[in-house]
Amino acid sequence: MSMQVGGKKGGAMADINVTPLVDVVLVLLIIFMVVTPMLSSGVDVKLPAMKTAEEEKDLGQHLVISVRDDGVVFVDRDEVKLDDIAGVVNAERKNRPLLLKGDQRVTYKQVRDVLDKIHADVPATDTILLAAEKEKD
Amino acid sequence: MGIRVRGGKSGGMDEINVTPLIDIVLVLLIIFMVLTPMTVNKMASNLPPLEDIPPPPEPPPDQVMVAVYDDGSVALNLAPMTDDELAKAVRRKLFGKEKRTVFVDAHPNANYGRVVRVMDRLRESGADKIGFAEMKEEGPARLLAGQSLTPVAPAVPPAP
Repeated sequence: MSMQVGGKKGGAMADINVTPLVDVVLVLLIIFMVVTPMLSSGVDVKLPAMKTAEEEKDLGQHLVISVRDDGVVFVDRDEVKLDDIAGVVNAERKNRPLLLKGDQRVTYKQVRDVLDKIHADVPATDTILLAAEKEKD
Repeated sequence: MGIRVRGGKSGGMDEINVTPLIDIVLVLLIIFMVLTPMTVNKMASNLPPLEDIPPPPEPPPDQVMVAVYDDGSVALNLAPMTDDELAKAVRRKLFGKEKRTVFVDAHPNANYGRVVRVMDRLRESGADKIGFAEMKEEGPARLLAGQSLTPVAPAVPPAP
């Protein structure tokens, strides 16, 4: 979009009131600052890289379970104890597929314990999605 | 879209009110940025069945069981190998099979990132379904020093 104003000889531009512009820009800035951390579901973890991962838009269609590098488990953004996880997942699930975001620095057992707890007490969890970072080759 | 305003000689534009234009453009910008969703990358993993099914005394001969040990090394059906050898061997084993399932048996203390990495290689090698084996406290079975695998078909067929 381009706009050309040929002032030439005619009277110079009277000063533009930039106050509304600044208002809007600042509001934008605030909106982005608030929204950006919320864009990716779940808590922020360092995901393992994969070449074969399937890419999909993140529209909040998964119930995200995260295992942070210190081993703390989260359902969405709420910290849960390992023993309570099945109950929380059952309550929050609302028919969504489960996506597990495990930090690449944790041990296999830390992830597997979460998977097994969920598998034991949440119906239809024979298959659980594991989140990964897409590795460019 | 181009707007061209010719002031000419006469009176000239005093001021164009650009504020509504900027408002709209910026609101558009917001809308687009909000609508541009993040992406999520994922793979499916399968967990062992809950019921205690007694394991068959002899695993099926074509079963592909990949072990990941706590030191990050891998083995295919007990035979230790490097990642590249594993990828090749699994590709060979899965070639032409209808059900291309691979089981991953990892040591509890193995690094999760490493396990996912191995699963990624398996998928690259043609595995379409990856199942986790039951996790054992002591980790996957390992060949002891001096122990050798039960004889399998020789890699190179003897010359006639």
